[in-house]
Amino acid sequence: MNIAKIKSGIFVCAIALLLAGCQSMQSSSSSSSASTPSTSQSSQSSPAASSSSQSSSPSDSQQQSSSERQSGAEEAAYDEADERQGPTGEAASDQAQESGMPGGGEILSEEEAVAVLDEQFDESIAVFDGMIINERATVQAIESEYSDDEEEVFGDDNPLFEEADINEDSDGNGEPASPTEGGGGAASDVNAEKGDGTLASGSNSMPSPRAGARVPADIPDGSDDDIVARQIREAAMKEADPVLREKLWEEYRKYKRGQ
Amino acid sequence: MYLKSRSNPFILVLALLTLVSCGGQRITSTVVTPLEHQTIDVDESQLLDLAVLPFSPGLEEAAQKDDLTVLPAVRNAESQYLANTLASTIQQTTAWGAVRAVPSRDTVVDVYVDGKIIHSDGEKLALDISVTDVSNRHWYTKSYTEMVGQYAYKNGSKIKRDPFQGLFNRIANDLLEYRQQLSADEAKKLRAVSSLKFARDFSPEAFGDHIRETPGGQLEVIRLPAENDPILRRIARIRERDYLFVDTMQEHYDAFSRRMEKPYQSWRRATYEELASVRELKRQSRNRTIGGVAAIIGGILASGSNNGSAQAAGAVTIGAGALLVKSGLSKRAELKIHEGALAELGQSLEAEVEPQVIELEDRTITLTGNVEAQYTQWKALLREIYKAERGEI
Repeated sequence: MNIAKIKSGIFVCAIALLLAGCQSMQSSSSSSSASTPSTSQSSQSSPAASSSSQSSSPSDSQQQSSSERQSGAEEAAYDEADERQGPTGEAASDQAQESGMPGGGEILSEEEAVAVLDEQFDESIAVFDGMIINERATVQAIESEYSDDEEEVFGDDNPLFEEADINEDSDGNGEPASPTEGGGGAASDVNAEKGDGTLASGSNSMPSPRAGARVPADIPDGSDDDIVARQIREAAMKEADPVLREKLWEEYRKYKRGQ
Repeated sequence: MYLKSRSNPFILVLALLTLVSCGGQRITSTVVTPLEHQTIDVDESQLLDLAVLPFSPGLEEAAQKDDLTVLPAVRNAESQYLANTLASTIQQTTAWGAVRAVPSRDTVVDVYVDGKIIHSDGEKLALDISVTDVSNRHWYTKSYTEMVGQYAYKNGSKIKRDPFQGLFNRIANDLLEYRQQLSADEAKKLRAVSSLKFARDFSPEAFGDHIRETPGGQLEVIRLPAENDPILRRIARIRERDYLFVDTMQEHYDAFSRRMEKPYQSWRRATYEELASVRELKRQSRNRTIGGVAAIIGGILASGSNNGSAQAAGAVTIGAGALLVKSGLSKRAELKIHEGALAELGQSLEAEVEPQVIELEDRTITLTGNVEAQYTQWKALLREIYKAERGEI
């Protein structure tokens, strides 16, 4: 009986020891897996960070040291970046912001900086050219409007000549049918031709339908254009020279990409 | 003795009438001064660009004279129209580079022509013209006046040339004469000053010490930049754009002149006719009033005679004199009608050209504002490029 109790007691103790041993193994394996990356970081960390980790207790010190190492690494990275920027780093970044260099922190050589500024200069030249072309188109529109007015003044006589020609053509039919009278087939044909002619001349004088047809397929509708983009777009749409027009569209694309 | 004393009043009256009828003669030019041309070829490097600035309308002087026939809108329109006509005339002499009407002295060219309208109607045009160059040297100031006769408007319904073209030709001829007195070196120096002034405006860091202002206020060249100077090449590109801007403004001025020409020349013709009528009526009114008064005086003197027939003649003369005075007064009333017609003509032209003047001013302000904004940006860019090329950034 006692032997049996002793055996069961030993068995329970053994199980207890086994359970305890399993728990200790689990905890040690988890702590070792967490410390692996921190070890790799510790090789890059500053001496101050590593010394602080040495003074801590093993279990707590591992977590503390990993966070300190991270912050130390960040500081080191900032220090390194500061060292690379040097004393003119601030001025260069300001310059980059002022001149709109791509990637404010990117360091450019003198030639590269001049090239970037020259590119901006070229773009502004193109914008200016677009504005001038636009303005000239406006002058031409004013001129054509004025010449149209002038034609209207003298144009009162023109229908009389046209009617006279029609009358001569329809001489054999006796009294010619006036446009207001209608009825006669010949007269209605003439009216139809006249009407077509008027519409055709009217559509020629309006630039927008022609301009719309000139917009390349890859150009967006321009609803989100700012004033500069709109000016380039309008200049391109009004440009008659295909080479210059394509240059203007290219400027438009570049400008939109820059946006 | 008796006969002598009796004939005196009649002689007096006759003498007065003769004197009165002789007054009011006008002198008008019948020959249009021909435009002279540059006959010898000028090297391109010596061709000077010339800018005609908008004329001063002279409204302050007109207000001081209380001249009600001068209408501000018409004068403002004339200040652009006449300046453009002069620019066109000067260009035809073929002695200059580009001749343009420009909105202000901000545009850098070699020679500037300023003008002021002293008098302008269909009969008379008077201008004060002042010429300076880019180095601030004053060339000369001269007054020009021309009166035209009926012949100027007798070319049928369509006027083929400006009625005062002779005056513009004289101005252009004087400019040509002065230009021909300049040596080739002087012309080249002027061009250098204008180029460096333009460059200095855009990049004072690079070209600030190439020209300087003398104590007398004139600009002079200190040293010339290298031909392959990269900043200068960029500025040359900007200057080409500046020429484009000036040419575009010129197109606006030309369009304005073309639109204004028809109503303006019609106004000139109408004012000429009205002014001729006014002058004739003034003359008639004055003559009849003076003649009438003289006749009345003569009649009074004659009626004091002992001779009965002389007394009768005196009475008749007094009656005739009274009629003459009355006729003179009626002419004055007629005169007022013509003066009213003149004012109406001016108002009619004013209503026609005022929208055009406003439109031109609007265009000028908008375009100039856009261009100036772009120039400011280029100046900043050139400053950055200048620093970048010297490793200062």
